[in-house]
Amino acid sequence: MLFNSYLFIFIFLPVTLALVGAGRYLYGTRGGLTCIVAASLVFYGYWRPLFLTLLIGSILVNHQIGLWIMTLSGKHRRAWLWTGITLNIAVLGYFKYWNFFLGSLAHVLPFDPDIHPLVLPLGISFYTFQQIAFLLDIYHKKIERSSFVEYMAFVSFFPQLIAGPIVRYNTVHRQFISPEWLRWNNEFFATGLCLFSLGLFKKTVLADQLAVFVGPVFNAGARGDAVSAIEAWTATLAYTFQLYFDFSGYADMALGLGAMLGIRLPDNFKSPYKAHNFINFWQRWHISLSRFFRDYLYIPLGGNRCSFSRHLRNLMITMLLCGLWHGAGWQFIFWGGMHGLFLMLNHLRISRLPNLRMPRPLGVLATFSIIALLWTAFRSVDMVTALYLYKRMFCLSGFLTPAQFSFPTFDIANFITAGPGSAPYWLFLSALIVWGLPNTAAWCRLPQENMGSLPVFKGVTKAIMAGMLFFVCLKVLAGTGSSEFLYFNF
Amino acid sequence: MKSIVGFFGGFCGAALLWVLLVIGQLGNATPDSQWVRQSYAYKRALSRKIAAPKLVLVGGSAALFSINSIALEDQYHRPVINLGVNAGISLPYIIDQAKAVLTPGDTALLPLEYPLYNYHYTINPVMVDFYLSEPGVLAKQAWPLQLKLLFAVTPKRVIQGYRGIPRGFTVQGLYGPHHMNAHGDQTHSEVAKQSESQKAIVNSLTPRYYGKNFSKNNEAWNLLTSFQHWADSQSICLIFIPPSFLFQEAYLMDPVENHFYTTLPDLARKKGLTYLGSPLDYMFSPDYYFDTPYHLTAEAREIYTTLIIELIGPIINKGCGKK
Repeated sequence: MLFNSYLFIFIFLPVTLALVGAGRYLYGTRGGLTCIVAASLVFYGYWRPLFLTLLIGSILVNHQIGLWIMTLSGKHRRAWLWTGITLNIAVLGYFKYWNFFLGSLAHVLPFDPDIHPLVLPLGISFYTFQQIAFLLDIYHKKIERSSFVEYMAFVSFFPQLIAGPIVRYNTVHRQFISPEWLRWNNEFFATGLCLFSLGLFKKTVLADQLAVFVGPVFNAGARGDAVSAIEAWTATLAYTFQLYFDFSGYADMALGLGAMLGIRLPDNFKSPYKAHNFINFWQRWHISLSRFFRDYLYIPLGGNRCSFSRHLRNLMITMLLCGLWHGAGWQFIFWGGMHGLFLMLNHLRISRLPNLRMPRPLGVLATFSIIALLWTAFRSVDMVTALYLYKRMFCLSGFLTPAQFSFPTFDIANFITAGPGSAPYWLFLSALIVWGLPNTAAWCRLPQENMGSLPVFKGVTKAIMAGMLFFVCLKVLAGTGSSEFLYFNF
Repeated sequence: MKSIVGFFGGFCGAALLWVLLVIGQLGNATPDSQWVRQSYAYKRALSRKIAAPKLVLVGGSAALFSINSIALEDQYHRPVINLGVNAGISLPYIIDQAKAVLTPGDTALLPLEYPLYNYHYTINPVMVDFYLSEPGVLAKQAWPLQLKLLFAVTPKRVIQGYRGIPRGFTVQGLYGPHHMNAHGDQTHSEVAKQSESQKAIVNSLTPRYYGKNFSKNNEAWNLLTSFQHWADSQSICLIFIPPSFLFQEAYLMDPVENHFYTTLPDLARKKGLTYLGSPLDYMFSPDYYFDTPYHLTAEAREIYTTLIIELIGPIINKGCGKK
């Protein structure tokens, strides 16, 4: 079930809110959590009921291993931790990387792999990471108790089950068991409505319109058809904005749904394209994933508390694995590797040339440009397509003709349907939103850092605007229908 | 609490603003709907010239492209008007136009396209555009359809409505009265005039799963039985027949689709309609079609018309529709 569907908005969500509210009122925390679990399983099973068994099986196994780690001592704890991590990675690896591994091996060794296409269970990358973090947190004694229903609600919590944010157990658990959770909170609900509406607007109005300028060019590139430099640049920039609006829109909706259900989920985006360097970018983009890699990979590898060369090596390993997490393909490894390289250069500059600083606007522009270029590889179906498009973008296959520079005239009817020639205006609007407006969480006045406090959404004018945008989204959905979120593929 | 009230206030305000914007351009013609509007005007004008009991072809573009009115006129010695224009404008308007043209003693032949039998306030872009641009049409519709149309109209369509018809605009292309003969049949649909892209489109058509989405309890049957009662009261004979339709293996092999086509005539008869023929007998290979799975070429039209004459002959000769 998609957040951006009438079924979800008009049936699933109201019924779930009513059930969870009634469950909390009648049976307390346990009643509320049971209703959340039931709703989440319906939400997930609606997509493909068969994979519910995988999700439930994964939850059962991880919870049991977690209990053993919690109760056992000495080397048994460590053994169960590694067993749990290995099992999680094995399942994820099978669905996500097995075919890639076989295909890559066939390039090196003389054998014909019997590759069957596998359907990636929705959200597996997210809930696997969340459960690995749970096991590690238990091992490090950061988690002291966990009932099965609390654990199940934590993993299957539908607002963040499919595409994050990747939540830590303690973050939501302490809210589940708080007496405040049992009380209806108008401010929470209002903030949730605002976040959900703005997220829906980002997805249905911005991302889905920008998609019109992306798909045809990348598909043409994959086929090796002619693509002009202007088309390639337009598609790259459009995808840069599309991915941001799509994924951050999903995150806003997830946060909004969480708030409606009385749960504050962690922010996942903080205006990432306002970043003035790569370090800053990763503090603003997919924050929950960055934190996961930082806490469970980068720091255990030694982080920056080691020699400088080892520090740089740790960065590169982390980013290569971050690329691989996004998908089984050399283009993702390239993307991760390049991000690793620019992070290394960033740290080198700070370490070796601390006085060499770029003016902030120039830093933002340079960072954005490189990130946009790297998204080309990220969006391409393979590395061959990415290289093909890079060649086109930098005119390595011939220079532009003056005719290709003609600027289309503005037509409002054409613009609102993302018709031919409206791309420059959509890119301009996107840039205006990205650089000229505060991010959604700031707009809805969610405290950025203090996870425990209640979000506050005040200001009737903003509420009216959010309501109006919500209507616009429903109107657009009526015409275009629901489309999947890009991060469902990861 | 103020924020929640504000949110829903904003939502209702935007909805109201939208309704006002749509209402403000109701009845304004747009370029897209001109060919349909002018085609109906042309056909209504043709029918006004006829005094004697006539045979009227009622339906969408399947009727427009697939029946030779002159052959029917020669066969039954009565004037024939082809009222078929476009199935996209859907059943309510098609029936409404038929009622405006039919007079006591007339016979209506209805090769309705299959989606029309599944109409349940179903809307499409053609319908939205047309119903909003024809003065008074929206007001006549049932309220569920009115609501759907008001909500489904796109911002682009509203802007087009306010812009109206550009100066010097004329209907061009394959569709429109400029490509219709004196009976309202389509012209310029000979194989020789078929472009390579039209051929390619026809050859690439895939099965349409009407049976899968079909519901026996829908608004179409209410409209059709009501139309039948009206026709009975006016001594007008209605004959429902299968339209010409591009054959696909799925219509034989897929049990749901096959069941739809084999049971549709009986279902229509149970509803009190006169349905002749079996849909599967009126499906043809791609080389019969011009640009869609319902549009026969001018040459194939002769074959389908001959089959229709054989089909309806007995009932017409018995005096169906005559006072």
